[in-house]
Amino acid sequence: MHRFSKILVAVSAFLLFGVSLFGEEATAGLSSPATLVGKPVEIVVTLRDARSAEVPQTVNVPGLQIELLGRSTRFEMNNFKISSSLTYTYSVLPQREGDFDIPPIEVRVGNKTLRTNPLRLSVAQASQMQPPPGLPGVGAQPVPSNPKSLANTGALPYFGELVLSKKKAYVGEVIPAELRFYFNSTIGGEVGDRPNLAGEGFTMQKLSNVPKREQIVNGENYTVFAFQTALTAAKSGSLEIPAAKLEARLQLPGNAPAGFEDFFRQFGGIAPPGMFTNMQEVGIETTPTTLDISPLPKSGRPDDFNGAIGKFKMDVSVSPKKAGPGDPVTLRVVVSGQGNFDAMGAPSLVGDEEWRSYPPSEKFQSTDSINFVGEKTYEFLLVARTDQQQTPGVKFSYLDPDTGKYEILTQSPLPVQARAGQAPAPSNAEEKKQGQSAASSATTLPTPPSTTKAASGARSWTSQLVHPAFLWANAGLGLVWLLALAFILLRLRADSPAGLRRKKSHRIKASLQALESCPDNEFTSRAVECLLVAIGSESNPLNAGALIPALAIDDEAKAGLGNLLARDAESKYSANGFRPPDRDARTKIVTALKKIPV
Amino acid sequence: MKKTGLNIVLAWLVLICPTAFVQADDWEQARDRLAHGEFESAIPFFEKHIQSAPPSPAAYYEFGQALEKSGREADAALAYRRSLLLDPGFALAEDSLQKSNARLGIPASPLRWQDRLARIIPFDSSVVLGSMIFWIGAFLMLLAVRARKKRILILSVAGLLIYLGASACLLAGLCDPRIVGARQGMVMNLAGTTLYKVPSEDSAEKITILNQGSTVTVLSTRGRWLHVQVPEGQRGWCLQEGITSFVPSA
Repeated sequence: MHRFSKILVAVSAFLLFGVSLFGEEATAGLSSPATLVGKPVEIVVTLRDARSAEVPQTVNVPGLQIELLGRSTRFEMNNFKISSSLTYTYSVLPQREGDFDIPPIEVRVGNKTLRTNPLRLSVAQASQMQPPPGLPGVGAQPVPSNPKSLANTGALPYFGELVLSKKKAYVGEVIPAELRFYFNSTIGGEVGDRPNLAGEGFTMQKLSNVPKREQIVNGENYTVFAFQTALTAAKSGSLEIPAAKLEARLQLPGNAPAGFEDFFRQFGGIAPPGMFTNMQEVGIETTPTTLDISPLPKSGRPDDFNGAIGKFKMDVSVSPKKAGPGDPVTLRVVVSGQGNFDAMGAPSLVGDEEWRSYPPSEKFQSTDSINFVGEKTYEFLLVARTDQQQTPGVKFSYLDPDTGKYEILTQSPLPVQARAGQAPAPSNAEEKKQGQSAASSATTLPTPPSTTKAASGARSWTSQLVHPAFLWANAGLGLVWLLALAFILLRLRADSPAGLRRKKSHRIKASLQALESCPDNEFTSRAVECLLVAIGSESNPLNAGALIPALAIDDEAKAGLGNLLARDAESKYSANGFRPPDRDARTKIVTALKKIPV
Repeated sequence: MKKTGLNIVLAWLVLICPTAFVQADDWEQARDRLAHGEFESAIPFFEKHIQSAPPSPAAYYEFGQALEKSGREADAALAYRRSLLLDPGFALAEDSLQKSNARLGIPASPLRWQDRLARIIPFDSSVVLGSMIFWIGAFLMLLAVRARKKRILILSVAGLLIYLGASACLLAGLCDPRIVGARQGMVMNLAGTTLYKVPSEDSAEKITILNQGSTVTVLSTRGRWLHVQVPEGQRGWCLQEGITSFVPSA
């Protein structure tokens, strides 16, 4: 682009976005925005291009005594254009501490009624004076950063300053700041939209314009363009705040063209001040400054500390006071005061185990332009899990930067009657409102298994195979099996021919033993029984006589056994009575019986 | 006599019933919180329920869900594994475990035949049934000894029943994840754990680092050291701190 075109565009933009320094209006300014009780300040009301005006003698503000001191007129000549300004000065005597809003002062100029801008004055007790947020200390006279005296008066044409509410702060703490650019009332021109301020290690709120005001500095009347912001340090240590620069196009005093000085000298004088000016583009810079940033103290930090730094108070309310089954109640927590509202977390609920709660909604309402002062409202949606008579308690912790100590605000449970029930599914709008709503997460959950599914699967970490009860049961069964096996084997053994033989032999032995000691009258019958067992003819006693000859015994034994059978028959059937065998006969019979092979 | 019976019933009502109600209450509380996205607050209720109630795959699965949503990935993976120990056919838990492992950077292990069988066979039932069949066969065999007729047939049937019953029990012993997994553990340390060639913290003997979520099979123990085998077959020693057994300790 052609150089001329660039200049044209730049100038056009400057004119479009620039703010006119002077206009047909009534402006008012305080010599200092803060003062002490009993220490007067001044209000300067300036009217441009007015020869006379009607102003009130007093301004009624309770707590302030405001009276008109006087008026003055100033004529200026800029490039042969003569302008005048009419200035009224009021004395303001604070009678008590507080923040005072001074209403617009009505000025009647001819048929027109003009109103000045409203003003705000902070008054403190002399002993506890502290600069209000974003405002300078009382009586602090700005120190020009780049003084350039006006040619003939010694006054500075313009300068800038950065006013910080404090020089020591904590990481994350909001530090109100004001960028001020002073322009001597005798110069004209245009200023840029807003200054540039950029640096590392801190974040800055968007610059907010403060209404233009008049201020007297070192006896000179200045027009002040101010921009409020808030700085937040991101790390501890020494924090450099660089110079902020505001572009301006000013009509600054210049030298008279060649020959003009001689022309005036011919008449025994000098060229009047302000008669010759030059339009110059200047950059007004504030003074770089350094902040001392400390890390957050670790000692005494509450567990629920959520990063809040400042001075706060808390109010809690609940609505409705009665809720039906499953109906939610809203616990509204209002945290108000001054601090880092943008960065702090929500208060925590205490004793909310029996309540179903969701992340609270947040709403911040600032009462200043830099979000430093205001109130933040948290709304907790609560649904009772069981019938409840009171809400959870609320706890909010913050760091008081003045004391460097953590403070805890607590709210006891509030009375409420809430019936237990299922929580209503939050609507989409509500989910959006609640940000990362838990309910939305719940919708992404896989469907939990049903109760039937929950009952399936193993119910023990021990496999049935190694479960003691299973092992004991099997051991018992094994024992029973072994016993049964043993029984069967014994039975098999007993029923075998050898077993039967052993059995027969045992019986014969037993019978013979009994036979030797039995009475004489029983001997014959017992001996026959023994014989029948020995020859295997128990079932058929009559057949015994026929079996004897076949026995593998000697004849004497056979005769003895035959004699035994005859004696038995005789004892049973003889009518003459029974004659018991004598000792020899018993011996022969027993001997014969013993000879029978088993 | 009647009085004694009444006393027993009353004692049961007083002692057992409240326990059951508390278990059910914890379970309901945990599920309720989980369903409403209150994952972190659901965890203590799941823990209480799991400690007091008989283990259930669903409880461990949902516990895993709560842990996973709370960002405790390794704990969630362990809960899913425990759910699968109790019910190897639990598809939801299997799917969640795979996802958790993927997030932990643990490669998927190949499916073994034991795992396939475990998914389809209810081991506890098969063990009881197998045991019953085994003993029927065993007693039938005793009968065959005494039998005079069809002894061969009875012996064959008895032998078949014994074989089937014993096989069912043997299969359970080989495949039941609660038996197999009793010797397995998971690395829970966030930084993982180091596998050494010998039981010594000598960096020269270092084999590799097992990431959080890795599984190991414990072969033996020596003091604080575990002799382990990783799924890839490599064996080594690691400190038992940070290794959590699949089967929770009583």
